[in-house]
Amino acid sequence: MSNRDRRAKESEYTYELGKLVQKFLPTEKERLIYKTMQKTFGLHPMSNVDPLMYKRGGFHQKRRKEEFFEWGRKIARERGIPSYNRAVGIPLGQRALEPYIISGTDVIVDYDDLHHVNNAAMQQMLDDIKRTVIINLDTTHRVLQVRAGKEITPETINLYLETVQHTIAGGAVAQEHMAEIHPGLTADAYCKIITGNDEIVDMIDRRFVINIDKVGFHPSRAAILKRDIGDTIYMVVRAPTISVRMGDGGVTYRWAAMQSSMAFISAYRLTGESIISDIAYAAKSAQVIQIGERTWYSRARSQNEPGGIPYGYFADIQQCDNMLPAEPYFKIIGEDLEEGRRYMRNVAKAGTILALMTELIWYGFYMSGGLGFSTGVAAGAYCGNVVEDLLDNFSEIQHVSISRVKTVPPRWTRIKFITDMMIQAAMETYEKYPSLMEYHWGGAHRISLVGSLAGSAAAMLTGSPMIGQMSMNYAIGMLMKEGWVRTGWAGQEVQDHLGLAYSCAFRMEEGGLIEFRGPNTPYASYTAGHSSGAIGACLAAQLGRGRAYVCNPVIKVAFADPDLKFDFREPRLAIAKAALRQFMPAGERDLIIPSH
Amino acid sequence: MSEEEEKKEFECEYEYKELPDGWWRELDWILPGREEEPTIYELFHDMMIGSIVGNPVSLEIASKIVPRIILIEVEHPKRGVEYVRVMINPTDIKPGIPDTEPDLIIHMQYYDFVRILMGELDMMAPIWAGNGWILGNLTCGLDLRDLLDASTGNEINPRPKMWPLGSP
Amino acid sequence: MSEKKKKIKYEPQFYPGTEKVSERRRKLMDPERRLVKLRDIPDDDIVQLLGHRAPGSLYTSVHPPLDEIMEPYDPIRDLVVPTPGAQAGDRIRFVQFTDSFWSPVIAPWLRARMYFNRFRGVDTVIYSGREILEMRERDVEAATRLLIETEVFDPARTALKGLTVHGHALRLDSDGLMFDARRRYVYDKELKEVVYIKDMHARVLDDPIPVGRPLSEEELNEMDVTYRWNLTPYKSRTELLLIITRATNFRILGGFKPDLIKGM
Repeated sequence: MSNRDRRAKESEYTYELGKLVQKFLPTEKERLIYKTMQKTFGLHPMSNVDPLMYKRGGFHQKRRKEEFFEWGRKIARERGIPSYNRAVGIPLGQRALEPYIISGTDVIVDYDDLHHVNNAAMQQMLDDIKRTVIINLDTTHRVLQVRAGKEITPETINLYLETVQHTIAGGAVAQEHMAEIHPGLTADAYCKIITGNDEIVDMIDRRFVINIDKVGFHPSRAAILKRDIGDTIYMVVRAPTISVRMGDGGVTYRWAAMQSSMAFISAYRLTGESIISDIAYAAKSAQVIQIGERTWYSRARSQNEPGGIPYGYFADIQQCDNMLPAEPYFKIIGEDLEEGRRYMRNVAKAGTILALMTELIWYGFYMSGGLGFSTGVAAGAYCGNVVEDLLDNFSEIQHVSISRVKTVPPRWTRIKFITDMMIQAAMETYEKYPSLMEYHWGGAHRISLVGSLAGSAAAMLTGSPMIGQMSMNYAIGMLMKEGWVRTGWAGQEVQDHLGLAYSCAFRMEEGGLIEFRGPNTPYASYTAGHSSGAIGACLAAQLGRGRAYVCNPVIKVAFADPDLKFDFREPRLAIAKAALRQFMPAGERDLIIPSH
Repeated sequence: MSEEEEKKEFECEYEYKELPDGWWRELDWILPGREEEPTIYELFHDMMIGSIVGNPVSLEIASKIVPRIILIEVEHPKRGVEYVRVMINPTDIKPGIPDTEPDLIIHMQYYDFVRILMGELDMMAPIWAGNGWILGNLTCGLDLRDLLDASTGNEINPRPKMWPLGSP
Repeated sequence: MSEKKKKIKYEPQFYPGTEKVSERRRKLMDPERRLVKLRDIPDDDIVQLLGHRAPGSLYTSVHPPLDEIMEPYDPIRDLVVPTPGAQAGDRIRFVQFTDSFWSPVIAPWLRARMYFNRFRGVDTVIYSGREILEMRERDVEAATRLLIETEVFDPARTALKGLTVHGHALRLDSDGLMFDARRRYVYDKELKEVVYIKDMHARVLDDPIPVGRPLSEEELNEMDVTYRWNLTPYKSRTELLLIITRATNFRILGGFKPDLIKGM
């Protein structure tokens, strides 16, 4: 065989990859993930042996579990019926019961503190969403002018707003024989105005306005929001937390319609059944923005419950991106790595709300209940600095790839290679860090995280949530599945196989516009772990396009309200506070029960 | 937005163009005696000898790269698809498809690739524009890009922390 | 149209790729290829490990043998020969294995593909770490024999777990065994073998059942079915990546408009 004919042989080019880890150990040690995993597990995080397994002291490893143990005994003694009891079931704590570091903070909490029933902030986040409804006042004002001949002036609007604060809290204004609510129980109920018109804002009592210029939006975002909301006047109603705790999200718009109608009657001295029914119709049905739609029969819930909230609304509810300039991400990351990284980090922060609302609250609570099996899946989004580490690295590769390119077209075939690179890197991180693998102990954790990263990164570069969704489905159902021949639980990736085929579908049973899909979309409703990725894609696409909101500017502004109990700008801090039992929620009944 | 406008908006920075006849005679690293437009193999071969081997920065970069097999397939408007396989450490260039799985496959138009070798075009530009694709170990892609940047005298991008030079 | 259609001989390819992981995946999926037998487990031990019936006891029937039943005509019955368990009217029982993430000799999705290719009358559910296989009782016993005695079982990294199945993603214990919160198996340092002291349902066995020595790290690396950054990096698997790219494009385009994939 002549030298010219000699063909390449793979054996000539093999090399000991395993030895390279020693060479790159300093690089790995610089990674956030290395430091966090070392802090979490206390040993070399890249070793796949836990020498202390089965010798860790059982549940006594954790203060919280000891507390549960004591309480279980106390309850059994007091009521005579056994309760929480560590004598049944397997002995917990044979492996490491690792602490959870809330990403981006130094707060270390116990895993059990992140169960939604143990965490008051998570409950308040859900309640704050469920108790919000938005009424357009323009129709009502028109009815008042045309049908009742009333004059609408800044004075009348202010009087109405003062009245509605009283009625929304459960106070009577037009009738004598009504039972009123103790205002201490409804201290979190109020109404505020949203408008894009500065003149109207100036004329309304500032206590009753969510002023877009003053609630923390970057000026470029505020300008877009004001332009798109325009002169229309919306009223955001916050029903009291106790109402949704007793009832459900469907109570909110009824509460709002009832009490706002009473306030109209009082403020404008309305009489006559037909005019009042028109006002009530306007407030209850005509131009009302519910946060969530009713869900389909087998998963039936009323309005304003998380299963019916569209992905686009979820993405508008979070407020983590408010301070970012409304500039397309691909321009930012191409020019300035650090600024691009800031965008990425804020998406990661927003992921906290998205994962909690869908993976934990909707699937782990509404669809299941009981112990927190999806607590860890959601925690993947906000604990252990995992997302931060990977996104920091991804932003670097994006910077390098597009620094000399001015545009990123929203085409799947063009964006795919960067998804490949990022997801293979994420998979390698799990392979390199057995401690991380243990931290994300289930396939659902990993597919949820990998899907979210792939979806967000692709959508952020292209500005297209559809590309983001394709990227997510491809990353889970194709890339991860064939790399490891395992994904999540029980064929969890079925959604990804369908998702790819349905990604461009607008037929009702297949999907629709991504922003208007939701956990209730038929093909998406039976497997968990994907919703936060799909929402992440919607949110990231908005940043990719350089816009100020995803779906609805009014929803975006409504949750920027600083008077909300849960801080939608800093969700991680609120959750960490609650885990440390320092978060004060609303809706408590202390005023009407014995002191305890 | 019409399709044409959309295309214009997204792809205005990149334009595919064919080079005028005799373009290769202008390049100092093309070996003398090439009467006809070189194949992709000849081009890469000449580049390796005339530009990369003589460049200390390229050599330093190449010495740190772990063994790689890269398959480049280019579509020539007249000659059809041509292949060159590039091996790094040990370094070798051969025409055709390797008998084993390459680490990276790059698919491009002939004149785009020529312009990349000439330093006129960034390696990623045709890929973002949809006029090519890249598949496999993208770290190889970074390695190759660094090599080409060094040989054409372009600024070498700093490597991402997670993918330093020499990482597999 | 008198010309007869050319008969194309179809050869299943099972899996793309040239290196050892792809080759191993191909081997496990291909029913024509024999799996290497690594250990002998007596029949009674398999019955005890499964824990569905006492060794030597009769199989419980849920219906009379098919030969004794007059069934309405159905062409499918002529085509499909019943498995022995179905023929006898056995109950449906299960076997479940958990596969560690750390150099497993088989992994859940590969199990599913192997089960469908090598067994008949199966129902299987694939999770991230474990996989349940449901069959008629005597069929599941026969399948379990294959699954424990051959190269698709490593006593340290693969485990029979009927319940409390977690452990696939955890680090290994100091003996190199996958975590099991029920402690069904332990490493016998004198015997140098892994010994099951509880059955699949974590009920204590009268006598421990040895299932062989754990494979060495070198053997496991050779038999690993997972593309791994330090052994067979996934990112360099261009042949496989080309296939999944093609499949993805088909899904997207075909899902949108089936005509678009004609001729691709």
